[in-house]
Amino acid sequence: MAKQKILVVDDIDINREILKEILQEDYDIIEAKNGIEAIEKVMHYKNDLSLVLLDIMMPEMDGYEALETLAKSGYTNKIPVIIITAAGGNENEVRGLELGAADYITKPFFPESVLRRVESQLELTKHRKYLEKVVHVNVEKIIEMRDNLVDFLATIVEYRDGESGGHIKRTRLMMEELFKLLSKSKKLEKEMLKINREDISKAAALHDIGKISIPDNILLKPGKLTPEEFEIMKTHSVKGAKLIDGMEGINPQSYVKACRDIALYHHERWDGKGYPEGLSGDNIPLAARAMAVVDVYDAITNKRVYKPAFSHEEALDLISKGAGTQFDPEIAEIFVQNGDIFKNIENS
Amino acid sequence: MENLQTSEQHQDYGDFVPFINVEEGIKRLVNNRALYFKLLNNFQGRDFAQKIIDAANDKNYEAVAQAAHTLKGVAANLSLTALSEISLQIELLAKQSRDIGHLKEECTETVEKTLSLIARLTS
Repeated sequence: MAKQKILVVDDIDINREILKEILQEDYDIIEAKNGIEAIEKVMHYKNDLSLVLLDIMMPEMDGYEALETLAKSGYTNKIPVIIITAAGGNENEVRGLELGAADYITKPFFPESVLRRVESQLELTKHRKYLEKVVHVNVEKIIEMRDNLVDFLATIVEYRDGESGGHIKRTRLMMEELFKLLSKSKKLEKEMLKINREDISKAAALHDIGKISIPDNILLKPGKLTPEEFEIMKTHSVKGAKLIDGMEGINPQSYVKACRDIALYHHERWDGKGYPEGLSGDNIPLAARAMAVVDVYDAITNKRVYKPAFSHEEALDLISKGAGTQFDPEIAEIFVQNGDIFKNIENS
Repeated sequence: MENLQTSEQHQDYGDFVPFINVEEGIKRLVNNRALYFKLLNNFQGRDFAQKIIDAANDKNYEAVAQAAHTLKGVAANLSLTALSEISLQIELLAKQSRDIGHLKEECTETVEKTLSLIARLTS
């Protein structure tokens, strides 16, 4: 294994040489003559650097200033900085520690003490990194559990109209692919900056959760709904949003917002003739505009109690025709141009 | 001084101790004797003390304190005991913006004595 790298910062070469001699058997030593050089080296080596030994009194930029700069850019959280002070002076070790230093050593150096302090800081960093990793893995597990539970809930609702979770899985995959494509669109660039793609594809699962409140005789009716029945059917978007508003302790907020936007607005139309609010254009959240296309595509290409399945080509044709009226023209165009991707998901 | 009897090497350096603690200096370099003498040689050619004197003549106390601080650190690291001590005294005075007075001459003398001992050691 390669030796860990330590940056030694001191304006006096003799001091650097002494530290180098003490440390070089166990570590790779990099040197800097002042604060500015030190910051340059830290930026250059980044994660390859394991520790910094930083003198305080230096010309150009002193150790305090260098330490502040490093702390501000978050480096002192990753790389321990041990400051070098002179014994017997009234230099303030406390100030250095407050500024983010991990420890201090004093001149004259004592090899054993320098080595021990360096070692213990490296040990601490190793442990901290290990703990961070454990926490990270557990957070990932929790998120995975959240997603599985949400998919499970959505699947329960879908079971009522004879589907078996396929629509949920397919639309999630399609949203994922669609948003990959949308991220390349110049027109949607600004809106894409505000959203988290992963949140949105996961949130897609809940788009029809409000259907739990639609009675069987309407939800499962073979054939066309009466205007009165259709009014009731339409309430599933508002009911879905209400259910999502009632979710407690689900994080992050960006995910919950994506769930709500999609459930509430996936039946809005680009021309403002949709429901429940009759929003138009980009007043409709991007996630819902994309969901509208994906939802229609998947519904059309699958058999439903009230209709047979249509072909992929027929579905794309319908989406093309709806561009600018029912659908966001940019999203519809991107979807149709990349139709094969969605056909493959449909057939998988 | 009780080390005097234990080894010839120690005996050699005994009388340097108030100015240069050779044993300690070598130990600091994890017993790399050659490097210690190399660093002493390096120190010989430097103007650390002159910077103090110049700044003192200009009555620039901040510069005196800084130069004294630097010399204090290097001298301590090389175990140049007397020089490190006098630098500390100068630094403390200068930090209070006080004239270093007779310490100036004392500093010059200590430097001269130290350098002559280094010359003897490294010749």
